[in-house]
Amino acid sequence: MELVTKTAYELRDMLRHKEITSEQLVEAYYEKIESDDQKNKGYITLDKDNALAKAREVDKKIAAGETLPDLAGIPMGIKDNICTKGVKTTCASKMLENFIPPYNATIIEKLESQGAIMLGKQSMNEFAMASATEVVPGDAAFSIGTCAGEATGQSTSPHGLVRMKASNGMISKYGVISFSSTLDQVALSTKDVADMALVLNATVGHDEKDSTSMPKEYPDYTKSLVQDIEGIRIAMPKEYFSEDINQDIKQAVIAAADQLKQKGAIVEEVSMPLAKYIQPVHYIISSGEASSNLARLDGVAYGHRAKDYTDVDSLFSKSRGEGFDSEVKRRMMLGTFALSKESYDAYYKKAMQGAALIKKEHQDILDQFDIILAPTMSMEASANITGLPAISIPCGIDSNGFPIGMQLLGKAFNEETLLKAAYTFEQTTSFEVKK
Amino acid sequence: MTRQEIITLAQTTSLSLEESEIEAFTSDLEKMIDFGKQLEDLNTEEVEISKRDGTLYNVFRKDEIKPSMAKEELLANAPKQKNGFFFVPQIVE
Repeated sequence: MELVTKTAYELRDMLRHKEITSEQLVEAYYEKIESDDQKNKGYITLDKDNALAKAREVDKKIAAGETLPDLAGIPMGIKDNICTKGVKTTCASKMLENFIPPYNATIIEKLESQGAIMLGKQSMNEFAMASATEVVPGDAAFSIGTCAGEATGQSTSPHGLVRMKASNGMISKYGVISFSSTLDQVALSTKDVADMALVLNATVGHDEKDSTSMPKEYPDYTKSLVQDIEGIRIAMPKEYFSEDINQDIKQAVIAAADQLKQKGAIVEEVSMPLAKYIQPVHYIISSGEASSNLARLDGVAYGHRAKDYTDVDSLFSKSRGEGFDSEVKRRMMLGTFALSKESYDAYYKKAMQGAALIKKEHQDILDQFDIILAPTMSMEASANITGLPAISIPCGIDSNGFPIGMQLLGKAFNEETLLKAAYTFEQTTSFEVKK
Repeated sequence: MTRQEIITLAQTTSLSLEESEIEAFTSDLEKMIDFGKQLEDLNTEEVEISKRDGTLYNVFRKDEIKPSMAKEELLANAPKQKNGFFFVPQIVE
């Protein structure tokens, strides 16, 4: 049986009914990874021995009749910018190619304490900065990654998966290697919306180690898996449906909105005049903060150190010059420029003010509506700039057979409405996603 | 931006650059300048910079001695160490 095509929900039930063991499941995933990796290189580091050992522990508990959390025994992939104790965490960079964190990120502690099994560290762009080359993360039942809103040029809902960025403060970022502190978000990827509810349940919660973590209680998100969007108000910003965008994408997302309308949602066009500023605001903030955050990588306490240097300044500059690739160096230099005394007011400060205005524009619309809907590729950065929750789901196929993504962005801490709308859409549509 | 200004910017960023990277940066910078120009017509008078929602508060704990991370763990990733310290070139005369 094709275990690797099953959802986390299906696998949970199969494990609980003893139809399979976690060890079998983990083996099945490694078999697929090892056969795919020749072309995909979806994992930077695999952790097979540990994964199998943990799977056997879960199997023992199941055999003993213990009731385990939903994700117990389920294989997960972890993006390689999230610290995993004892397992290399490289950010796909020579700068950290041999870095082994002495601690786990909080999100790893949470998931592992619930029995989820880490297969390995997934590939990524260096320090999560977008480049011309698309990176395809390796297979897993679900994945934990990050997103800073970088434009990847993808028309797709990433690789046909459901992806969610929760409201700022819901998921701890302790142990997530920072790129842009304002924009960084943990991103959850699952095979469907029901799995997203399970993973969201497992990952949200206050963390004292993260000063941006909100001290809140959260509901059971599986209760949002209902087809009930009667009266939900959805705004479609006309700026994201102009003649400039790819027509396959436009038609697919409009058709998806129509489908939600047929299920009882109220869908209206709105205008977001500040949408045109999102890209420059995002680029300036992310570059400035990358320059600042990556300044800690200096070859002193960890990371790459050059072999030849004469003094401490050349230790820093040569180690960093050798350790980072051109794209990262470029972004850091641009960031230094944006933060420099002569440029700060016109660039970084202006961009942060722009971000405040963009946030207000979104909030004003969400005072009248429940959801803002647009193509994923157009609205990717909005969630990062505003800190609002967003879910991206496949809603069609383009002319090359690749999935098209629709993004739903909602009110702060109202992930339930997003899940409800996404679930309703998903349950009433179907199309074959190209693998 | 002149070549020397780019080199100065690289020094500020503590980066050594290849010659080809110095040349390429001129066109990269134009992209940033263009983004800056795009924001010029955005009226941000008296707009406070974007802040996170919620109230930030200090997280305190009791003033008790607790074990910290073991020194060996902290030094485990050190490129060069000596006598339990990170080893670096002389900084202070």
